[in-house]
Amino acid sequence: MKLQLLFVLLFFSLMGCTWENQDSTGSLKVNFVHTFQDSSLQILESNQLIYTTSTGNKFNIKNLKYYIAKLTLYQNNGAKYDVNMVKLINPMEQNTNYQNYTLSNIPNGKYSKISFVFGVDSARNTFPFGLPNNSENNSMEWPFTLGGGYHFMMMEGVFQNSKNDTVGYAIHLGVTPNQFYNEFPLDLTVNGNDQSLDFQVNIEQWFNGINKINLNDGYGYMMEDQQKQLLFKQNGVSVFTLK
Amino acid sequence: MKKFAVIGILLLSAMLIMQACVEHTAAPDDTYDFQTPAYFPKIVSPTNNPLTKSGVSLGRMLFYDPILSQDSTISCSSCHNIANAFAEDKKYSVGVGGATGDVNAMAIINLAWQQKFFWNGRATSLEEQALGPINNPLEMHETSENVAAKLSRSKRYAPLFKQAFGSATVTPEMIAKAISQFERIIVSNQSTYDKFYEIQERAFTAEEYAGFRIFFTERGQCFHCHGANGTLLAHNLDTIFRNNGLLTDQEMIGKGLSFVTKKATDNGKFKVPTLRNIELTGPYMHDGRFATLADVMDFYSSGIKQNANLDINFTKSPERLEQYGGLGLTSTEKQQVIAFLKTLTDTAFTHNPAYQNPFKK
Repeated sequence: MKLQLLFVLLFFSLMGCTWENQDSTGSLKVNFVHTFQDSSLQILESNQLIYTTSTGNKFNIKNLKYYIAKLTLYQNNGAKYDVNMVKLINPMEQNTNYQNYTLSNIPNGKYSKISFVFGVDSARNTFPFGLPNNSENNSMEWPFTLGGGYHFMMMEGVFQNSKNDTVGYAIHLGVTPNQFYNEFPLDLTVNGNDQSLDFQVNIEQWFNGINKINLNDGYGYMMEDQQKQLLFKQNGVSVFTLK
Repeated sequence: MKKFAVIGILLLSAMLIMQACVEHTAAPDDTYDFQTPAYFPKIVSPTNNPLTKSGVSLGRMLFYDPILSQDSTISCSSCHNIANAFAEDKKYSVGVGGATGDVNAMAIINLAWQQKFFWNGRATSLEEQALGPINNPLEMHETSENVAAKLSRSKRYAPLFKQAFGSATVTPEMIAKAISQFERIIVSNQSTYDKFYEIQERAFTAEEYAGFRIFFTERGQCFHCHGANGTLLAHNLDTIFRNNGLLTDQEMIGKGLSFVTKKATDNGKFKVPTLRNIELTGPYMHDGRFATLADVMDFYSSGIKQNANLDINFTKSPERLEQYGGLGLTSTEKQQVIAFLKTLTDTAFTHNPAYQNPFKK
């Protein structure tokens, strides 16, 4: 009899925990959906040139990784919620966990704005201890000699240059002045449930934002060229769209 | 009574489940205390082969014992000499009966952080790698099953396997686990370069620091492949194999990573080696083609062969490639980079008693 009573108590205790969570918080999975214009982004291993910039460069993308930091939800009353996390987004990974940023335990309520920092926030942009010390973050090191911290983005591939040779390019952004803040209006009600939303990440906009990028202008060596990094920082604002 | 029976069955089930999950639990005091500096990432160690004192000690004995080879003439240490930071000073290793391989022996340094092994990445774990040379006819020319049988009959080894893995009947898996445990604890972290993490550029002489700056800026580009995780540890899987222009399109067919993946886009891509102790590990490259670091610097400066898979870090500067055939470093710059590379030499590593031949008195 006592054993049965124990099971009953245990059952209700567990149910109690679940009900409490469902009542007060929910979660939001924010997916980063990569496109080139409106088609799914293709990241290639070969040198096939499948994309064209607005300036006429035929090119491809062979490597793309970047950080998103401090994804934050805002209520109309000024309350905000974030998990103070930096996430490496890697569309080359088959594991889709590398293409989303999940907020858990969001207090119930209406949220009218979402924001994030592109890159690593300045407080954590110190190598090797700013981010968890693992091989994937190690592979994003921005050398001490160039200011230290982490690459905010690596985008690499090949393009056809003005001599019609297929050569490499490497869009590397880093150092704190090149992070940027992005915010979007939102209509989200959290009511103890699990939800998701998508950011379209239109890679074409990195080349065709307010600055029109011509890869012939020397985008192989830009880690020491703040002016070139600035052009991409300014273009980055139009890369992300909330769907 | 019925209640006690139910509780008894539950407890028994729990014990059986726990027993099934744990193959062999090391004695509590047998856990190997693996200490590394804070700036090293956490070790990636398989849960089915935790480091134990008895496993590491056994692995060290096996590493130095020619019993692993067909005619008891070749041990792991024959081609992985501690004086050469567990690489070899020959271009190609000589195996049983004088057979010669066709790749240069890789150094064994900080493998605990790596996930793919051999120049072409054909082993995806240290345990898998460990049996490779035993079964290679150009190396130990044995079979791992034969070695297991020899070790099971050995009065020296059978009790040591019993202690480390719970059974005196040795299996190839147990051999692989023991050797891997020893290889996993071989760590270099006491070079001059390591002082950089404490005192930054004050760790270096002026020449070394000039080389450090070339290495870690776009002048030399070295860091893009041999970055912190390259010189220190390992790489992400997506950056571990690179085509550095050693081979032409024709020469690279089927060589490197493509041996495993069968993709033409992987032709000529080889595992980027650690540069720790690079002063000691020559000759260099997968085929040991360069005898000295000066040869290596000349190659990167002016000897790059263009091919379809040449790494972006070279092709993104077509002007340099066209003009110099590489990075176009001056002789002073080459010397400076070599001076920096020598700061990665770790004599505490090569003299570490824990890595020495246990059979030498």
